[in-house]
Amino acid sequence: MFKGRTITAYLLIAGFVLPILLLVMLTFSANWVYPNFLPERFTLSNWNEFLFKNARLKQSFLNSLIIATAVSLFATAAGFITSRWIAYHKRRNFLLILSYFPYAISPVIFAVCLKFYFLKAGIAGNLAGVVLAQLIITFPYGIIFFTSFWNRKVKNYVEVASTLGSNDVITLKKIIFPIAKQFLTTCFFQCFIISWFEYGLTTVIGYGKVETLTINIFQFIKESNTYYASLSSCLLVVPPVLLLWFNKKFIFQQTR
Amino acid sequence: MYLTLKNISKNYGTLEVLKKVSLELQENKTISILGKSGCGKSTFLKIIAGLETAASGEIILNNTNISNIKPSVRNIVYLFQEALLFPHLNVFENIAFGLRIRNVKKNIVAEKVKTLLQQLALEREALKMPDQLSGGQKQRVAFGRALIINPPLLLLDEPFSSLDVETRATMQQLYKSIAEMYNITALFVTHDLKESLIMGNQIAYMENGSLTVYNNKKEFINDMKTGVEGEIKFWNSL
Amino acid sequence: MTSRFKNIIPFSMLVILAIIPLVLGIGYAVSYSFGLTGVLNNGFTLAHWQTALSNKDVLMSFGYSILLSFVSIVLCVGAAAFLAFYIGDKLQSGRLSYFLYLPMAFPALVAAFFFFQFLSNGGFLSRFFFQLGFIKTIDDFPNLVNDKYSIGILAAQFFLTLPVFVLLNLSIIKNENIAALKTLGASLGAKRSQILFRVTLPVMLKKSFPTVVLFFIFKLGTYEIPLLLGRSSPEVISVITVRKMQRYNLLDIPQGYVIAVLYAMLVFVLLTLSLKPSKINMNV
Repeated sequence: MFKGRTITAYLLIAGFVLPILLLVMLTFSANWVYPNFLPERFTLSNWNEFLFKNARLKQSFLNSLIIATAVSLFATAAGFITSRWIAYHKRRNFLLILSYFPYAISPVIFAVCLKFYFLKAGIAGNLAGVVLAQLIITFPYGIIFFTSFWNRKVKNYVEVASTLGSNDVITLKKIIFPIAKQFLTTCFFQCFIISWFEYGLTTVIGYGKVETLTINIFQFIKESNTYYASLSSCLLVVPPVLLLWFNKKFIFQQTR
Repeated sequence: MYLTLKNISKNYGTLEVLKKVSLELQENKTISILGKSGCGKSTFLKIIAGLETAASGEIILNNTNISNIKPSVRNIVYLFQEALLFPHLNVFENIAFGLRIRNVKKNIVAEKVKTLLQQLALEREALKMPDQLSGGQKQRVAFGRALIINPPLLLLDEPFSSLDVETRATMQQLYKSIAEMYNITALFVTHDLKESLIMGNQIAYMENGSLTVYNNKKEFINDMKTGVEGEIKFWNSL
Repeated sequence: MTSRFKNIIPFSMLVILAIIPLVLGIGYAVSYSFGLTGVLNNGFTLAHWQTALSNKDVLMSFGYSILLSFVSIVLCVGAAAFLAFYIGDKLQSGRLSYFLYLPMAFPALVAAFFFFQFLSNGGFLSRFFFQLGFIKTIDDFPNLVNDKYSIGILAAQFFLTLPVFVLLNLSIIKNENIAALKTLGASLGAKRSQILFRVTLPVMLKKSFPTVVLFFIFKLGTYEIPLLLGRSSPEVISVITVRKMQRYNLLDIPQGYVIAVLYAMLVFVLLTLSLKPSKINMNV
């Protein structure tokens, strides 16, 4: 009994770790021909190419970073403020369902429906457009995330502070922010990851002109460039894994 | 009169929570308001504190009509059933809060907090965080946090209801001595019959949003609806 | 700051970033599908709806997506319930609990790429079996990606979603005090199987239902995984929508919008009928 449980646990974990190991191995591989289990030789050339030569991959990495940072900063701030309003609103449930809708719907389908307006506004195919489009899905996520923060207890803290003579600004600075700190950082990282992982919507609104890491991966896969695809996959997976090491909650987002 | 409440009404939609409630209270006195849960006592206190707005009525404190003044300017402190200590501040800083936001000089803050810690028997807890305190200690900190700004009026919303019997009795005595020391004027809401008799210089009973204020304890005891008679009968029949 | 001013900022953000895009997006899709906008618009027509609804591929796509999401969710929920009860204590704390979060570090696209490398004819698994002598040539290995039974898609989705449901179950077991309920059941004379079917599972299902529905909706809109691991027919809803809209045949575009409208309606119905937003567990 005890043994079976231990074995099950380790098998499960092995299943979760294996993908990372294999992807990392592929990035160091050359000539991985069938039916060899391991590549003919290991090499640093793929990494070498990325770090010192391939400007395109570096640019994509930078784009992903810029987009994700901008998106998560704004989504967290806007979500925080808006969710407060919704949480104490009379029609709370209706407004929440309204917020769930853009978040639950397939981003790529949402994107094709909105593409027309992005083209008209002249922001399809540039970073600003992609940031705005990603906000349309991460902002509702922020709202939903923070509704559990704005509970009765926080409302009471604010009331206590105001009867003690605290005005809105001081309450925000001295009470709400300190209490919400953990929530804010968690939401920031979760939105960061949603944006960092986003592919469908970004291709549609990016219009082939904005390249992110996910878009690179897809192109490498189409070109059957396994080594580069795994290299960019690793670049994509490493930041969340690092975050996981700091705090498990940071990377817990409800992905598709 | 120090505090005068005139015809305060409040409704949520069609539900009338407060029906023309009036009340007068002298300075340095505590009135206890007895009532079952849901009778409107919390709403009543929140309106006085300015956390909710009344549909109609006036609140006059020390000859000033404060009905339309923001809660943060009223200076009236509302103490909740829960102590609601700010979780990110230690005991010292929780008590100091009201002075810190008024930018009071550091040495004065330290002095005042120290005095209060002494009076509330919390000296050894000064650096503890709220989650390291017992229920009674938390309520004492909440008291200290309120008292430090010398509020003209204190509103207590069942502050001891979550404490065990013994702690509760101690807290009731502590409150009485502190109230005397600081010349406190207060409204003390409770659903506990005995507590209402112990805490108030004056007693009132609230039911379905209507308030009955009694002239003396005898009147309160003789009124059937307060339940005192039934209680006396029970103990006598033993 | 007056309270009115305080409300204007969140209200306008909600309107600008959520409500307007929703209304514009759906509105555009609806009007395109009825021939009111678009390159070929000739005024109101039901023709595109008729074409789309009589198109076998479109109907199959909806059926396939629903079936795929259903199977995917059932597999995840079942396996997660088993794991939570069987080895929950091991996963709850300690070093192993970190590994449980690992799949969440994977974007769908990378998961799809990995499973392609793992399950395809030339992939790891095939090489492994070859080395063991189980298969003689590359063609002996069964099709596990772009396959008839969608095994590749299901495997990738299982990998991504299993941890979410394991964590959800673990938190329900803890918060609902399932252990105490089980003891109570036993003290009332229930047998082990009765406890499982009359106490444990009903409580778990009831508590996790809103999240299960939300994930069902997510799976309905899945894109990257079926794009890489699926077959060209049937296609999932997202893939067929995008493909129709990128066609050079202009008559296909309105059909794409018909699908988008139908899909949006489906999501909306599922959301409103079965979700009480406050019950969804966002922070397991």
